[in-house]
Amino acid sequence: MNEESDEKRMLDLIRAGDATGFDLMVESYGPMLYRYAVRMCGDVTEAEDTLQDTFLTAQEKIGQFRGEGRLRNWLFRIAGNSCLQKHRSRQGQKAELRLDDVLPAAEGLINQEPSKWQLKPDEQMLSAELSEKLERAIARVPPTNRSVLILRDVEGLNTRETAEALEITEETVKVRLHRARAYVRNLLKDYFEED
Amino acid sequence: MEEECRELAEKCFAYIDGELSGDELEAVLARMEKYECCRRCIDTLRETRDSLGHLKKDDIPESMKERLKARLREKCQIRE
Repeated sequence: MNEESDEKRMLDLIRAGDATGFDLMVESYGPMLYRYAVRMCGDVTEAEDTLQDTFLTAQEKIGQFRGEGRLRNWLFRIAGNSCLQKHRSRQGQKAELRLDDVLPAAEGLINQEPSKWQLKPDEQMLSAELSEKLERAIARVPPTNRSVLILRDVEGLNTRETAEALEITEETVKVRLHRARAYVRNLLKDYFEED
Repeated sequence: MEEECRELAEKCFAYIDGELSGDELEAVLARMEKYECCRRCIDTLRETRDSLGHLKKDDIPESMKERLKARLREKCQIRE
């Protein structure tokens, strides 16, 4: 069975008032939403709160889900709104990256040969050290850009799915993603140039 | 940094996802051909993207999953 037919089965059960539909929803989408929420909130307890809010909101508003897009994307939208709401309530955080935030400050920013940046993408696992650096860098990306970066580059949604999940245009997804990536790259620069 | 670099930055970002064609693609390729720093910039962005895709996919803790399911079942029963 593919993901879309699984979603249909899940929705049929939920709409019929069968609680196993929600069990399936947690099993299917809990892991992705959990990873997204942990990276957005930076904290496991807050991530659990976000997941609970997300699933309870979905339960309450499932009648409003018309099936025009994927249920998964709708759940990401609820989770994303919840995370961004939490961030808005915190002061002093940059809302979104501008182009000037990610451009090299001077010529020669990237001094090392590309070979020194080789992260061996063919390897299934990154080194623990690099993973930690990446996670730290992700945590420093402003939330609106981070949300796109996680969905596109970490979770592997495509541009259209990400736009649907976050209720933004595909063009906005691209701009936010490119700036987020460049920001992470700039943060990693020190790591690669330490050697 | 050079103004030309600044103008082309967004295009370079788009280039690594294969989103450019025609004159825009030509402009980036010409820039890469001419400047080592531009090539490095694009290579390192590509490496960054690829490594993000290789981050570990943690699963949700089993205990959290069970708490969530229990909460949803509880709400289901209240509605009934």
